[in-house]
Amino acid sequence: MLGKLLKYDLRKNMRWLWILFVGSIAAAGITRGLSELGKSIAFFKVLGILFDSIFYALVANSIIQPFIRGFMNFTKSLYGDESYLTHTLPVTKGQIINSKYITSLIEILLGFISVIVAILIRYASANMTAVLQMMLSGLISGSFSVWGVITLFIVLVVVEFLMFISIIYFSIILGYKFNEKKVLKSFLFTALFSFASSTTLSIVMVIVMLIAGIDLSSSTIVLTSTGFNCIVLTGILVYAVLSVAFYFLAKSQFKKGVNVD
Amino acid sequence: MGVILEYKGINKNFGEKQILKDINLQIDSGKIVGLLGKNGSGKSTLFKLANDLLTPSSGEIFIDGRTVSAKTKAMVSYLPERTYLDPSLKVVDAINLFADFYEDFDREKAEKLLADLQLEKDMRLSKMSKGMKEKVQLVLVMSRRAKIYILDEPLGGVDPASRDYILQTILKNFDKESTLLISTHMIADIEKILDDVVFIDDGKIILHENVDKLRKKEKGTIDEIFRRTFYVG
Repeated sequence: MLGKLLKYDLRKNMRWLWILFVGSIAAAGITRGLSELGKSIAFFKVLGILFDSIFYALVANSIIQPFIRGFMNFTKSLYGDESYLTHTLPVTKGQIINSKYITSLIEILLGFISVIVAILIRYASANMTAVLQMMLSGLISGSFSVWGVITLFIVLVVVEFLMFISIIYFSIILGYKFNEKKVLKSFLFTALFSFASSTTLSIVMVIVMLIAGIDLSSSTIVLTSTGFNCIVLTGILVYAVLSVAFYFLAKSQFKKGVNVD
Repeated sequence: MGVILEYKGINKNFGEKQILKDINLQIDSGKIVGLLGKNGSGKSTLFKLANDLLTPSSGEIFIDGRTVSAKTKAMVSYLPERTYLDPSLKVVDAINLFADFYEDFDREKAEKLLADLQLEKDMRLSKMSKGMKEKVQLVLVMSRRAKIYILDEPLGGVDPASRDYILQTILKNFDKESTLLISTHMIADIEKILDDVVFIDDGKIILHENVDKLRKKEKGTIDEIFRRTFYVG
């Protein structure tokens, strides 16, 4: 039954998202072509600038929209009119919540993949690795190459998004347990848990930096490549642990039952 | 004939307000039961509790001897008072969805009923009127071979011309072994099909009786008895 729920959840959201994903890749190709042509013809240069703004808008939306559509679908499907169907399907509450999480995870990952592909199409060149190597030279250690550092960054952002999805889903479930001002309460819970998560991350980071021997008393913190990698890996770990924790909290609260208007 | 649906000591509060007060109700299988009451008396709340849309403040609900779960949902075919299908779906998509999730869904029956009601399979729900959407939902719900049908105001948004057909549809497609629990304000329209009637007022069950016995005892139609019981003057 989880497979069937996933099929319908994905189909519903991807109906619009795929346009963004494919659009950002297509816009990257067009912008790249126009910038090449613009080197010799001024008209194409102007057109290239116009397409560049479309490209950036599509790229930004490919990252943001899976996130927004995820929690809009979550609220509509579990607490709006459509919930009259969702809750009466012969599926368990665990399957319903898992389907929402997996759908969000797939959509966020597809968003990031399409953005990476689009950026590569737009900017890839023979000396790209060398340029990146120069830009990130201070951060590259023996254990991570330039692409290793970039992958770490991407993983960090993806895990951070997942944690926010978990926080938002948990907050919506808690907010909708009340009889009044459900949206406002969901928003307040989101703010509260986001603050708690940021505080937890900051405390863990300070501990890790102290262990790594980074001098926090100095006005300018000198970060070695090893220290940097250590901090990013800690960030990934903390976000992953918090994502899992909020997921289980959301699931246990959801299993206790809902009160649909 | 066993009990198919049982409410045991059910209370439901929304904050300070108590909507249902110590509801104890047993519905036998194979019966058509009318749940009748004024607006806000708790009829829809009672239905929503059996469909896991609300959580009781206290008490338990049993469907075929089981507490409400995915297994009981496979036995219950529920028509709520609102339209719940994603408006971007076509009618055929909604049929596919029901066929995917409910093993007891009869696609052929659904297609025949749609044709009878002159509803096009390829039409999007967003292009339909409220009444048309309600008809589509009724078709989906009645095309299941469920153990229990719970219909909340099935005639609410339907034009009078279609009302008789819909009542006939409900009766024709309702398996004699199944149970039908129906709430409506159009009592005169449905009283001829009812076996039992339940009156609910201010969150309390005030009457649960066989329709024929009640008519004899109170010397009147169910519609008249309802009006006498709930007289507002």
